[in-house]
Amino acid sequence: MSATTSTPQGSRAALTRKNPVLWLLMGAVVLAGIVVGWSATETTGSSEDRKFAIAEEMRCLQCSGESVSKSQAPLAIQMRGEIAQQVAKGKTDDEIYSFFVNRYGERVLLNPSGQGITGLVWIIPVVVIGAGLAALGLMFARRGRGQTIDASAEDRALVEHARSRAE
Amino acid sequence: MNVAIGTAGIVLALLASMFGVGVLGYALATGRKDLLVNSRGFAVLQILGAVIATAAMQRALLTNDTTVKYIAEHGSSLTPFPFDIATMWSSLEGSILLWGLVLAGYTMAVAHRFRRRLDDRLVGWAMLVMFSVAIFFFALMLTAAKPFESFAPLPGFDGPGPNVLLQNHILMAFHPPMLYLGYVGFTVPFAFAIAALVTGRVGEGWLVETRRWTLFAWGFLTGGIVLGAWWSYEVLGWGGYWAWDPVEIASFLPWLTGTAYVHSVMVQERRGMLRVWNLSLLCATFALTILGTFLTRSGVIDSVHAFSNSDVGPLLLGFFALIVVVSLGLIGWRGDRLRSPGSIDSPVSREGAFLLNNLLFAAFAFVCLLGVTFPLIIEATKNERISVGAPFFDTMSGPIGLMLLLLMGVAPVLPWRIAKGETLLQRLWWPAWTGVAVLWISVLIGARGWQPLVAFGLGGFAAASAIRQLILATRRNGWRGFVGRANGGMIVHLGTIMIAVAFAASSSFIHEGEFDLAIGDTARVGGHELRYEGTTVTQEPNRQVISAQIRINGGQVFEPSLNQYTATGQTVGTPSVDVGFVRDIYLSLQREPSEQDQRIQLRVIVQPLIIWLWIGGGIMLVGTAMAAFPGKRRRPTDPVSATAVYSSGPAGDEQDDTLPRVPDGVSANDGVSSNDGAMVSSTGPGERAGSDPADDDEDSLETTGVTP
Amino acid sequence: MSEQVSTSPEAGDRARPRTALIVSASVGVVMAALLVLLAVSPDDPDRPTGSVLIGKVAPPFDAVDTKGRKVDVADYRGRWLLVNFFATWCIPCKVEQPELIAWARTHEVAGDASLVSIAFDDGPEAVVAFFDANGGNWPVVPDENASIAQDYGVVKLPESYLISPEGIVVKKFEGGVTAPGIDAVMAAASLAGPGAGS
Repeated sequence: MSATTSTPQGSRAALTRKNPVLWLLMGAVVLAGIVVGWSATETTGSSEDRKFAIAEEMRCLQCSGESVSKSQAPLAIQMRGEIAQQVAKGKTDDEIYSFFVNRYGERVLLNPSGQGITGLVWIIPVVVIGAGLAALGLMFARRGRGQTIDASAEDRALVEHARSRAE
Repeated sequence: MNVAIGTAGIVLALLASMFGVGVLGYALATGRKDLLVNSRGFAVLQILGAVIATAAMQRALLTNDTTVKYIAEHGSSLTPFPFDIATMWSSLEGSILLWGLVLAGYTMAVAHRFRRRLDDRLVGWAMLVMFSVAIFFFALMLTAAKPFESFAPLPGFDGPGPNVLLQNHILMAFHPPMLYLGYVGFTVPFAFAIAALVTGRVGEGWLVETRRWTLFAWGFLTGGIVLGAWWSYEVLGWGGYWAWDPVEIASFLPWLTGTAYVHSVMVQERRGMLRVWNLSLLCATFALTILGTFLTRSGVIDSVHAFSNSDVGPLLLGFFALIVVVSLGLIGWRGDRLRSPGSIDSPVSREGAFLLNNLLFAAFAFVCLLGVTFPLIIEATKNERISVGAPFFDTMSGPIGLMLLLLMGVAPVLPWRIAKGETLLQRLWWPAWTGVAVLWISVLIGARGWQPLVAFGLGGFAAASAIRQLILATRRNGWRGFVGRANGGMIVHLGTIMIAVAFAASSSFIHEGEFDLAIGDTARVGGHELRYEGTTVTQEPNRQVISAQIRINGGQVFEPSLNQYTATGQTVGTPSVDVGFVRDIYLSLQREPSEQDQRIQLRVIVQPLIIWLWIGGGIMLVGTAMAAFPGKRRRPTDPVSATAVYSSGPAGDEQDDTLPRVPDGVSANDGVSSNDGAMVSSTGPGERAGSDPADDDEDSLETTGVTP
Repeated sequence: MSEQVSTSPEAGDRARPRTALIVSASVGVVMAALLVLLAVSPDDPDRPTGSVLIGKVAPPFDAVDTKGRKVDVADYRGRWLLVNFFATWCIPCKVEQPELIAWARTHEVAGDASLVSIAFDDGPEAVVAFFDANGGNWPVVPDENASIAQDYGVVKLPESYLISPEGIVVKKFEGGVTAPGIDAVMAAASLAGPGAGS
């Protein structure tokens, strides 16, 4: 049924699911929701949550691979106390991380830094996924182009051969 | 005595597998099909040996026979039932014995299931591969990881018992066996894949046949991982369930490739495409189980989970290398036969969605593997030690998870071959609005942060899409709308979505605090009040329990405790959790109460939606069982409307003999490769190009605005 | 009648074996690299971790010992100082105590090195009790909130830091020490000259 007729279907077409305007409206509603619900992670203030958030990014070196936030080891408990003091003194997140790196080394950070060769751990996944998606896109693009190839003489002969066999 | 019986059992199993490989190898090389039938006998001997060895180990554990070194090192007379049984898999050597037992069990099951076709070369090669894997593990038990060694205990000697963390909770009895049923289960489809490659019969028969085996293995692996997370939550006292610990990741890697495989294999069944992907994913899954075993037992990775250091590492690494070389070699060699006759017509189609799915899961697995091995790379090159921990994995898995949620919603409504934009918009209408509604409801109840909000919205979208499929299927088929591969799969999706949403919620909206409390003090966290009322001390046979009474919100009393084990003197905490459908309140004691005034250090963690992780996991298992249940079409490529030719016997009954015989008149696979593809990509009666028989009812049930 | 049926391959078909080769070759290379990496990686999770302080000025601690005297790194300029971190509940610390006693006595006589112990996470009474039980008469600092330990980057117990007469951290000992072991490091560092770190 085409929309050019004056039957009731024509006016109903405006409200069907295929109407792109309604979908754009939906997109706007989604975006509005996300904007309203936006919140940045807190980097100031002395709440317990901030202390645990910072501790979550550091490794408890006394245990095997637990974070300072989660570990029950004596060192982790003391480190949390130190973080709480620094947070109360008004230090920024970076200052607190530097404090511990200067004493324990880069190991103490669970989030590898982006500098130097260590930064590769962030770059390689992006490159690999990007390359994968690009290869996918390329494959589909090439396939699209390939479909415009005309039948060659060989193909025609093949078809004739098959048809003659069928008769 | 137990040492002798146990060692005899292992030797029997090893000899059975060695002879199995020998006889089968000879039979396959010389074409003596009559000899191939012996594989069943060898499987019987192998499982007999494994059972004898396991029985000897269990007898030693239950009677605390300290003349066995394993019991002397890991057992104790004080260990309560059933943890004494579970001690078998609490340490390295016993865990290898469990692996051997499960592998022998699977080999026997395969031999039984294919008992009428043991003379088929493909089955013969599969049995040979399984016996080869068994040789490795049973040989390991006689060399580097011996469960049965003698020990001369002094009178009155009593072992220390298993690691105290492993005696705390009943889940420990189930988590490793379930994981092993998953890991080892993947040996079966792997063996058939190798067999198909070696014999050149890379058509779809072996795939359809091993589908249920793969599904079972995948289901057990999923269950094992969820149980592990649940155990971690209930026992370890840190309030979390997934730490991106290297050993957790080691179990996650084969799960990722296995999930990609169970999806991608559908494309091969229907259209004969993505064969190289499927074989690679299957071989990768099995190889990753061995890699995971290596990482856990070699000491290369620092993890709370790791078994004690041993000599097993290099051997496991060598086995992993062998598997990789064999798989890559075979796939490369048979590459020409694996070319698919058809090609993907359009990216907007179910094939395109599954291909994107493969890419996302493979990328996820690659990123996880990179993160786990990166500290090793840095140490090898720069001689510095860095950490790559949870923040890295959370950052990487977030976007990938969101893309997968989106795909989970869109893919079930995509038809095969090609989809028109209109079709998609029509079918996704209600799921999309459901997602929007969920997003706004979350915003209105106070959830903040774009990542969890988008996760909730996409979760709603994907869930509505899955429910829509189920509704359509039940409208058409009644109760059968819940079983069969597509519908069971939708139920699994629902479970997965629950886990994804719960994961997003509990990571983003967590409130915690540490409190130093005297008796009568109240702590306040996340809107809840917790009052410390007192402590009690209880003496149990193997430990002393100090518990604190905490009253939550003036209601129920919860008792987090500290357990000091008499055998080793170690103290381990047991948390107490107020479980709710909306939120969990998690309590753990950090130190022993101070002597004088009973002051405690209490850790309180409030996380939303935790219980939905376990419920979602359970639903995933239910869905897996339903997906394995025979659907209406016994073979997914059978046309829906066809009768007599393909369907024989009562619907839903599985015959043993479902490996399709090559019909007369069609050239066999050993010649041209493209004929299988031709068989499956043609549309049968009742199918329309662009629609799937599984969803061909859509066009009839939904009006498109046209009145007939 | 035998018939030769030939199909002309599309351009895509010719490209496909090449892509398959490229893909399997690259996967093979990555796998080979992974295997080599795993084979050469050290498999001892307890291997020494080293310290970022080596070669740097020793952090001050400005503390009060169990006898009420003020103690700091600066007080020991001009002689070697071993800062020993321990805890009263740590068994290897008890085991190394006799070695420390022997070393302290030798160098007390020579006058060229001193020893200070810092108790991680312990109160004064527990520390005094430990020293009464196990011996030792050098300054002991109870570090109840572990701030000194954190300044030095202490991870496991016991750990000891050897500081040169110029106030530079020369070596971190992980685990229990032996008197000859400490002397050997002191001798080697003296040969290397002031300001050298290892």
